[in-house]
Amino acid sequence: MSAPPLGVLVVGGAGGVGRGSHLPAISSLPQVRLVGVADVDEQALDAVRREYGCATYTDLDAALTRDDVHIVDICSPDFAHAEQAMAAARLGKHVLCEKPLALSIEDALAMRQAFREAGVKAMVAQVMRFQPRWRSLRQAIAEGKIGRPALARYVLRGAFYSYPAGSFYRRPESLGQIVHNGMHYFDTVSWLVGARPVWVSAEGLEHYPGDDRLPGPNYWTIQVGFENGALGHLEANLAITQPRGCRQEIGCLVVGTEGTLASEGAEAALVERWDGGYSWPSSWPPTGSAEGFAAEIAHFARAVAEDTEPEVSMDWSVRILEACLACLQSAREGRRVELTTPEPD
Amino acid sequence: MATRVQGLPETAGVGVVGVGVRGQHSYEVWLAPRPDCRIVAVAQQPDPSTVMLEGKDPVGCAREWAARFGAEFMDDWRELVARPDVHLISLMADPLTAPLVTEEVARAGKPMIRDKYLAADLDGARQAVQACEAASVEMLVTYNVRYLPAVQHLLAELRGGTIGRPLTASFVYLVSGGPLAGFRATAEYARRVGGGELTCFGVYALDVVLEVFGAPPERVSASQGALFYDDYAEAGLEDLSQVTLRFADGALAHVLTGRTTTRPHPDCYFHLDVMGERGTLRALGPEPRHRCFAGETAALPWQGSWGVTAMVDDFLSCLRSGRPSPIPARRGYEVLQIVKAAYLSAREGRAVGLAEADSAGF
Repeated sequence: MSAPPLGVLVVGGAGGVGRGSHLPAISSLPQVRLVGVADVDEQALDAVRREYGCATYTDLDAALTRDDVHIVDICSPDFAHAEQAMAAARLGKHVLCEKPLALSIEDALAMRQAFREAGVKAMVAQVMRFQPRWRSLRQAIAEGKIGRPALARYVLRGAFYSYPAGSFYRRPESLGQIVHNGMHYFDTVSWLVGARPVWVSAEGLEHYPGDDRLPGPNYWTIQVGFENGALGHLEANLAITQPRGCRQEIGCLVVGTEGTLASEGAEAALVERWDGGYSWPSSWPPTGSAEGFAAEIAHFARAVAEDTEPEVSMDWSVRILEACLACLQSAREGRRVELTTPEPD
Repeated sequence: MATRVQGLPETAGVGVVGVGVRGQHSYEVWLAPRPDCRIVAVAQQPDPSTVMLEGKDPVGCAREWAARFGAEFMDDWRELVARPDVHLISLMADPLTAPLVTEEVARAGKPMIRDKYLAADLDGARQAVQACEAASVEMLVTYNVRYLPAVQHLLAELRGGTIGRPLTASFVYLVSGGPLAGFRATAEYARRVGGGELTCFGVYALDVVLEVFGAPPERVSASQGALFYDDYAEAGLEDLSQVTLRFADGALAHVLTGRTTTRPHPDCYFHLDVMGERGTLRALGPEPRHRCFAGETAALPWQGSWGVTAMVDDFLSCLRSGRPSPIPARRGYEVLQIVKAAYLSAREGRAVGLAEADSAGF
C-alpha cells in the first residue's frame, strides 16, 4: 500500500511563480496533495480557489497550523522568504523555498539554523538542475565523458523581465537581477563543475534604453573560482532590448581535461560533446514549464517521505547565495571577493 | 639617421631573422608563394635558445630553413638586415630578443612583419614601438584573427552603425588538441616568451576586442590557472585565462581563452558576441558554425589560413600605397599592456589599471 500523499501549502502561491509553475506541478504529482494556498492578494486567491478547489488563506499563521500541511512551498516575493520559512520550520513543516534563499547572508544563516533546530528538511528550488537538459549534461560529466571539468561557462541572453509597476523587483532593496535570479546561474554552473564557488569577480552594466528599468545592472559578467580549482564564467545579459521581444537564449560550455560539452541556443535543443564523440538531443521544456518543477517537487517530497537529504543542501545554497551577494560587492569595490560562509558546526 | 624604404619594388626581397622549429608562425611561409615576394636570405636570431629550439642546433635549423626557400643562409643577422636586396623583414626572433632586432631593422628603415609577441615584457615593447615610430617604419604585428571573414563582417557591421555603440563584448576563444607535438613548457620558455597562453593565444582575441571598442580599457580584472597541462603548472605558466575589460564609457568586454582539452574536435571553440545599443552581432566558428549575423545570418567561409593571407595582403598593400600598417607596433604594445595587467590582476585579485602594469615591472 502506497503512503498517503504529503500535504503542501503554497505560500505566495497566487503570484506568477506559484500559479504559473508550482501549482500545476503539484497538481500533476500523486505523491503530494495541494492543501492550501496563502497569499496577500485576495482577488488572485479567488481565482486559485476556482481553478484548484483548495483552501486559500490571507492569514499565513492560520494556514501553517494545519496538521495536514507537511511541506510549505514558498513562492512569495524574495523579502518574505526568511521570515516565512523560519515560521514554517518552527511549526515542524518541511520547507521548499524559491530562490533566492534570502536577501542577506545573515538571514540565510538564521534560516539554516532554524531548519537544523527544527529537524525539518529544507531545499532551495533550484529548478534548472531538475530539467532534462541540465541533468543530461550533469550525467555526462558524472560518467567521466569529458574527464575532470576544469572550466564552466553559463550564459543567458535576452531582455530583462519587465515586472509590473510597483513590483518589489523594481525597488533597490530587491538587490536587482543578480540576486533574484543569480542563484540559478551559480547553482547550475557549480553543480556541473561539482564544487562550491570560493570567489567571484564581477562587473555590471546598466542598459535601459527607455523609462522601463530595473534597479542595478541588467548585464553582468562574472568570473568565478571553485574549490576544486576549476574556473567559471557567468554572463547574464538581460540588456538585449533592441529589438524588444528577442528570444531568450541560455547556453552552457563545460571543458574537461578530456573533452568539451556545449549546449547552446534556445531552439537547438542539442547537447554536443566534442571529443571525437557524438551529439545527442536533449528535451528542452519551455521556460516556466511544469516539467522541471514537478521533478523538483517530487524529489523534495521523496526526501521528506524517505527521510533522506535533498539534492540541494542548505549549506550549498547558503554559499550560492553568498556568491550572488558578493557580485554586488565585487562590482562596487573592483576586486575579487572571497566567499567565506562556514560549514555548520 | 634612418632612411625609410618608401613602398616596395615589384618583387620585394624578404629577409628572415629568427628560425624556430614550428614554422606555423613564420610568415615567410605565406610570403614565399606570392609572386610579389621572394625570400632572399635567412639568418638565425641573436642569442638563440636551444630550449626554444627543443634541443635542435640553431644554425642547422636556419640553414635548413634557408634551403627550403632557396634563400641564402647568413651567419650575421645584422648583415642580412642591411642587404640592399632585402626590402622586408620577417622577424621571428623570440619575444625576449625581438626588440633588439626591431631596433636594427628600424634603423635600416625597413618594414617588418613581427610574430604576435611584440616583446616578452613592456620595456621591450616600448623599445620596439619607439624604434618603429622614430624611424617611421611600418611593422605588422600578426594578429590575424581580426581578418577572419566572420570577424571582418562583424567589424564592418559595427562600423557601419548597425547596432549602434558597442556596449559589451564576449569572446570565448579556446584551442584544444593540446600543444604541438614535442612542445614542453619550461622556465626558459617562460623567460623568453613572457607568459603562457594569454600571451601566446589570447592576444588574438584581445586585439579583436580593441578593434570593437576602438580604445584601450581603463581597467582589467583577470583570473588564470594551469588547469590542463602539468608542464605549464611546473613552469608557472597559465593555460587558461579570463579577462574582463572595463572601458572609459562603461562598456564591458570579457575574453575567455586558453589551451584546453587534449581532445581535438573541433580544434577550437570560437564564439564572439557584441551587444550594442540597438542590436547584437555574433561570429561563430570554425566549421560547421561559421556564420555571423546582425538581423540576418551570413554564411561565411572559415579561411584555412585563419586570415593570414588577407592580413599579409593588407599589409603589403599598405606598404605599396604608403598607408600605415593596419596593426602597428603600438597595437602590439597596447595588447601586451592588457596581458601584463591581466597577470597582475590575477595575482593580486583586484582590478588593475593599465598604467599599473607599466610600473609593475612586467
